[in-house]
Amino acid sequence: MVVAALAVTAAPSPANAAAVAEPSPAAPSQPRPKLPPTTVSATPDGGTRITGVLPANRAAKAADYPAAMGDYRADRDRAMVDDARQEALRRAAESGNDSFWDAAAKDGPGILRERFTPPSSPESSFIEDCHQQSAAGSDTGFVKNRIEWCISAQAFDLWLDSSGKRTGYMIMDYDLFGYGRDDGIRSIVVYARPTLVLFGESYTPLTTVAMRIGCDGRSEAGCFGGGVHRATMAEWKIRSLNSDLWFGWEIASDETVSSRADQASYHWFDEDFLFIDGRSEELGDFGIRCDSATYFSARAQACVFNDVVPHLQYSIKDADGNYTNQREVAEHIRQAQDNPNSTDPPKPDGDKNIPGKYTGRFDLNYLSRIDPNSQNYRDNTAAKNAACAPLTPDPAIERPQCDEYPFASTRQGAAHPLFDFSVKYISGSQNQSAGALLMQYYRDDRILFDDDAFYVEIRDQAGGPVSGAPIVRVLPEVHGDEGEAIPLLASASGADLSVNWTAEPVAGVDAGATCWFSKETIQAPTITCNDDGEFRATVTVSDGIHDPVQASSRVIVRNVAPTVRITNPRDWDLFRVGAPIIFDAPITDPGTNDTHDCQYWRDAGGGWDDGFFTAANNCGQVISYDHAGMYTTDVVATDDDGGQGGGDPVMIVVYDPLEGQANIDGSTATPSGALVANPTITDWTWLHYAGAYQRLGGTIPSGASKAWVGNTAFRLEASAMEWLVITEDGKVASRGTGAVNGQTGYTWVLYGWDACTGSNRPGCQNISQDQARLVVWRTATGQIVYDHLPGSNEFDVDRIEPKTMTSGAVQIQRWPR
Amino acid sequence: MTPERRMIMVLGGIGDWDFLPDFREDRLCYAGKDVLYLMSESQWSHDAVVVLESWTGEPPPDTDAEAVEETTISFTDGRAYLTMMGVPIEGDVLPLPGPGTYRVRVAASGRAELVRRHAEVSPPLWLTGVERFRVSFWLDPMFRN
Repeated sequence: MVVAALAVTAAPSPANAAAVAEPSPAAPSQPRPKLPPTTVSATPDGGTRITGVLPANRAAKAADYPAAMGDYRADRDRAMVDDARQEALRRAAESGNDSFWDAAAKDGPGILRERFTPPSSPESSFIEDCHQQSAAGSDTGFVKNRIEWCISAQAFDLWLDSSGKRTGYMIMDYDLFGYGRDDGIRSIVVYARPTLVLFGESYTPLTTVAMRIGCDGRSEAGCFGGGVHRATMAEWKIRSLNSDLWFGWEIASDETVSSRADQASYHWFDEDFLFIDGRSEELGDFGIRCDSATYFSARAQACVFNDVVPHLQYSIKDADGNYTNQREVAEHIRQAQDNPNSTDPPKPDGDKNIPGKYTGRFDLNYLSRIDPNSQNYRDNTAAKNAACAPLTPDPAIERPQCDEYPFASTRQGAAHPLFDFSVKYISGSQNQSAGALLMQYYRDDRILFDDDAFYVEIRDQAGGPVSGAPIVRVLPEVHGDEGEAIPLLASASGADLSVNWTAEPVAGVDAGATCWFSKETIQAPTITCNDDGEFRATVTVSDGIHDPVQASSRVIVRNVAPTVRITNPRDWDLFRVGAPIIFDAPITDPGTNDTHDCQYWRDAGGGWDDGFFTAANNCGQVISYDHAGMYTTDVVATDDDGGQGGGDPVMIVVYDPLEGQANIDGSTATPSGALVANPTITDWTWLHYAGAYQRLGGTIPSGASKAWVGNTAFRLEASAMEWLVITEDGKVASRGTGAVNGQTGYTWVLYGWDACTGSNRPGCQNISQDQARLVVWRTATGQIVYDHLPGSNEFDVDRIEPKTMTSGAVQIQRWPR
Repeated sequence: MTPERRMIMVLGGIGDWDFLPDFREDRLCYAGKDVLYLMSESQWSHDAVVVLESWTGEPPPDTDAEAVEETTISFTDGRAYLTMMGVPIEGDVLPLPGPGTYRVRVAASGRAELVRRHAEVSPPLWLTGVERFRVSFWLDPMFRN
């Protein structure tokens, strides 16, 4: 028996026809107030701070962070179109996102055939898909299919002191994953997780930063929800290492305040990153559309991501290369889109303009769905019938049907007064198959009546979306010294990637400067530059399929001061007066591109000389001395970037065998500490020295020398003399070997300053009394056993402070020339 | 109901249908999970009469029908509803005993007349009520608990 029955002969009245409105250019509203230019600010200690948030693609290309932030702000904060729907369309056009629906693919990443409820955390398959899409790093993120959305971004806070040295940093790469829904709830869910967390100095593990998701102030009424998630840097770090830890937010929409058809509301939401001091930077906004359309069966309320250009794909062949059951429809649409004048019905008075072709971007030649229970639909169908009636189908066509494009279910169908259309006889089964899929497309891409622009793409062969080009991110800026191996890091996603780094100078770089990598083909090489300045290190990543992608790090290389050291002669080296002395002073400078100026200082030459240029990394020179003496020499090198450094001075001995003879005979007080073996002793130290070179100019002096300390066992007996120096100004120094307390293996140096007494002018010292100093050490070890100047490291006769002789004298007898 | 590309869709459940028939079989109806396609005889525009019936058992044969076909359909909830291109017709919902597997018999009449009358003038007239579908559901005894 019949328990229920219904009968329908539905003939919609004109009153049921959906309202039709042409899209019209809308005037932009006033720009919203600019955010304060906080990208570059001062740190508490007067340094510079660079703060911001950038979508990953901008961050990867940012050679100059403040400039990149400025560009992003300018793009983000520009004027909005007054009408939210028009603004959504504009953003969709600019986003490059295309919510596609492949009619030939039974399953695929772009297809959501079932009513959708957001998962409790992002699904791994979507995460993987997102990471392979370069669109994920774009300003709008990657909208996979209107229900799933993601974006990768980077927050950074770099602190530099006044010298450019880093004093604090925080770099966080993070992902946001969003899910719309069509399960009867008007909301979206957004999840966040960091993928890379770097911090130091002013940012400590206990420093707190936060993310805030919320409705943008420009949203249409009814947007609510969101909130703040706050965590320490340590927690963010942990989250970056654990793929299961997500923060989540819900943004909801109140249908009761919408005045649009289907209670549609266009909302924007954004993400604010809150830095160490509460300063925030905004990422977004991102568009969503919520509606309460009743014509999606049990999917009466939904929110979808809106920054997309939706399109239906029909393919000539399926992914296996077989012709699809929509082939003839696809070929018809392609003919209509690409060669409209070849289609029926002919247009006698001009070229046909048939809309709906998908070009990858938004234009006004879109299609918009209408209510099939509307008069508009019936008009389209009637117009199509009239155009088809004169045509005779090819007898070879199986159960022919007259197909029309644009679809009768669109406002741009055959009855449209502005757009043209095409009709063509094709196989009935193909027409029906394409029609069945069109209905599924409307549902799955949630195409609203008269509200959603969509397009049709005809492809030669079906298949899921080709994985996007690989994406690559790098540290925006790295610092180091010239010659230092500075770590770089590129994080790249994609399969079978090849990596290649290159470097180029940017600013403040001298000619000849170069940089090189530890290995160009790895993701984390080091870069070393042979001069200071600003360089750009660019990594190119290719998967061999897509165009290679690049990202650049700004490389700031600081100058390093050179060092120079006299390696020849060495301390105590002995030269005859007038003999050439070869100074070898190699320069060490990690900036191997640097050139240098050398300057010498000599205790006997009036200080620093005028210097000279060298490009040979050596301050070597050859000099000679005209007079006997002990000469202390120093040298510094200054590089062409202003860095200056030197080494240890060297003391040499120059003797003149023809100068004369010297006697030091007498005593001094024994200073406390002079006798190392008995440092408390304070007695008298007795000196007896007579030395001279052989008159005819020998190289070794001869004579006798002895010394002792009263009331101690210390007694020096000289066994040989090595040299004798008698200076022009009345100083004497002589070195030799000998025995202490009968034990050989000691070296001694005896100094004497001859006070002017009148008869010895001018070769004398302007002191009241003669002075002397004795130094004795173990030859093998250098261990001092006696020194009138305990602890002194000065042995140049001109630079010491000898002790006053309490008895006896220093006498110099100069040979006549 | 106005067939679109000769198709009238009857849906059930929450609209998760994804069944795509092989229309080359040239059948009177095609059924999948939560979806039933009724195939009109004429490609030209017209409004057909569709009657949905729920039976407690196999209904008696429709001897007046020009074309009859039986098949099996599964519903995920206890209702079937008429749609225009997937868009439910408000109020046109047939309650069913519940979710499950049903036999469905589609009996069509007026099809020859529809073709004949569509051929009378060019372009063909938009006819109403010439083609009629009677769609009868009953629980499939093989799946009855």
